[in-house]
Amino acid sequence: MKLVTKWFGVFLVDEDEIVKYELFPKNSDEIAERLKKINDGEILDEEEKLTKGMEIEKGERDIDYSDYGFTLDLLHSASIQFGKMLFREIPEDRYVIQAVNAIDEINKAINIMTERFIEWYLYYFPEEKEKNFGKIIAEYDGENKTNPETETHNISSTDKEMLKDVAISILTLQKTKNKLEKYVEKEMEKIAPNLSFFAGPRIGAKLIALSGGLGRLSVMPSSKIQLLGAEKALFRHLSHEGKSPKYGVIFQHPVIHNAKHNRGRIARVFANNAAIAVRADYYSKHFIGNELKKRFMKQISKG
Amino acid sequence: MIKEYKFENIYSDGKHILTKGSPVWNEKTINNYRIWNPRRSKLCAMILNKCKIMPIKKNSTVLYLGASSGTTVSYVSDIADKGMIYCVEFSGRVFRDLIAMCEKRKNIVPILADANQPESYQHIVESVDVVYQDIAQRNQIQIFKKNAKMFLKKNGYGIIMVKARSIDTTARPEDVYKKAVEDLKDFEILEKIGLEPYCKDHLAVALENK
Repeated sequence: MKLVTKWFGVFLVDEDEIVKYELFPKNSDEIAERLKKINDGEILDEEEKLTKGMEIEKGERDIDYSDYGFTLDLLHSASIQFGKMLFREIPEDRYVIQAVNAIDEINKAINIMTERFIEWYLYYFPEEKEKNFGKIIAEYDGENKTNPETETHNISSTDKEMLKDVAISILTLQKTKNKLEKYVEKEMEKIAPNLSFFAGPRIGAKLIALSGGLGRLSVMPSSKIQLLGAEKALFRHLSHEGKSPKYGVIFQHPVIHNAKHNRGRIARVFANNAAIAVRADYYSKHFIGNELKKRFMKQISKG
Repeated sequence: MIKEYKFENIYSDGKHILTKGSPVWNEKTINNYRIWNPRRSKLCAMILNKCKIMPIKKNSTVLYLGASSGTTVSYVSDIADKGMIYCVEFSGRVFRDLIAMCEKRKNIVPILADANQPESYQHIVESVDVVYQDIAQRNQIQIFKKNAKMFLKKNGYGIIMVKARSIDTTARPEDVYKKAVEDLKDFEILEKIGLEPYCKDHLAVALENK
C-alpha cells in the first residue's frame, strides 16, 4: 500500500490501483492551506483519516485531477494564494541583513557627501585652519564661528543656506547610522549570541548577510567563511592565477588587521572558531562564546 | 505586415518576433502583438537564431525551471495558450514579481521551490510535454535530468539553456558545452543553437526523451 498525496486529494494506492481516496474541498483557500501544510512537512488531516491504524509508505503515481472534477483554474488560484502566504513569513535574520547592508551604504554616502561638503566649504572659507571636518559639519550653521575673518566676501545667504542643508543631511545620516548600529547589536545578541560575542555584531551580521542567512552560514565550511567578502579576489585567483586572498570581511576584526605577522593564519583560526560559533547559534543555542574566545586567544598566542 | 512565423502562435513582422497576448509590463506592442526581446529572453534568441524545432506548442503542458520574474514565462504562456505552465523559482524576491504576472494569466501555476529537489513539488506538477530549463546552477544538467525523469512524458521534449559561465567560470565555453551534451546522452539531441549575439556564453539544446 502506498499513500499518494496530490494537490487535490490523498489517495491510497495498491499496486497501481486506487483503493480509497479523500478529496480536498474544491476551494482555492482550502487547497492553499493544504499546500502550505505539505510544504511545512506537516501531516494532513485527510492523510491521517485515510491511514488510520495502517502502516503505509509514501509513494508516487500519476493521477488525473480531471477525473475527480478538479480544474487547473483552481490550482492556479490556490498556488498564487499559497505563494502569497510564503511572503508573509520572513525569517528573523532578514531584518539584520537589511540593517547591516544599510549601514554600509550609509557609510559610503556619508563619505561621498563629506568630500563634497569640504570642497564646497573651502570656496567660502579658503583659509580654514581647522582640520577636523567632522567638527565643522556638526557646528556649521552658515557662519564660520571659530575664525570669521577667513570668510570669502561674496557669499550670498542662499549659498550659505544650501551648504547648511548639505551639512544637516550628513548629520542626519550619521544619526541613522548610529541607530542602526545599536539595532544590529541588539538583534545579533538575540539571533546569534555566540557569533556576535566572538566576532563582534557588525562582522557577524556582515557574514550572515553575505552568506544569505544564518542557516546557510551554519552549513558553510570555515574556509568559505574566511573568504566571505573576498569573492572578487578569489575568482581572480582561480581564473588567472593571481594571489589567493587570505581574508574577507573578517579582516575588519581588530585581531586580524592589527596583527603584524601570520595574518593569514590568524584569519584561518578566526574563521574556524566563527564557524563553530555559528553552528552553536543555529543548532544548540548554548552560549559558548567565552570558551571560544579563550581558545582563540590561546591558539593565536602560540605563534 | 504581421505574418505567422513557422511555429504555432508565434508571429513576425520581418524584424521582431511577436506573440499575441495582453502586455505584462510596459513592453512595446505592434497592433496588440507583444514584441519579444531576444536580449531579455533566451527562447526568443533561440528562435531568431533560426531553430528548426519549437517544442512548445498551442496545448503543451510545460515545466519551466528557473522562471525568475516571469519575462519568458509570459511569452511561453502566450504560445501555449491552451496548455499549462508550471513554473518553478527558488528566489523569494523575484517570485513576488512572478506572482503578480501570474495573477493576470490563467495558464500559469507558480511554485516556490528548489528545482534541485523535484520531490518537493511532485504533488503539484503532472507529467508534462516539455521541460524548459534556464537556471544558473553548476549542476544544471543533473537538475534537468532529475526533473525529466520525474515529469517528462515519453517522447516529450526538453529545452536547456546551458550556461557556460555558471557551470565553470574558468573553463572554455566550448569545453563546457561538449561536456554538457555528453552528459545528456540518455536523450536524443535534436538541435544545438548558440545564442550569440544576444546572449554571451550560452547554448540552447533541444532534445527528445526516448
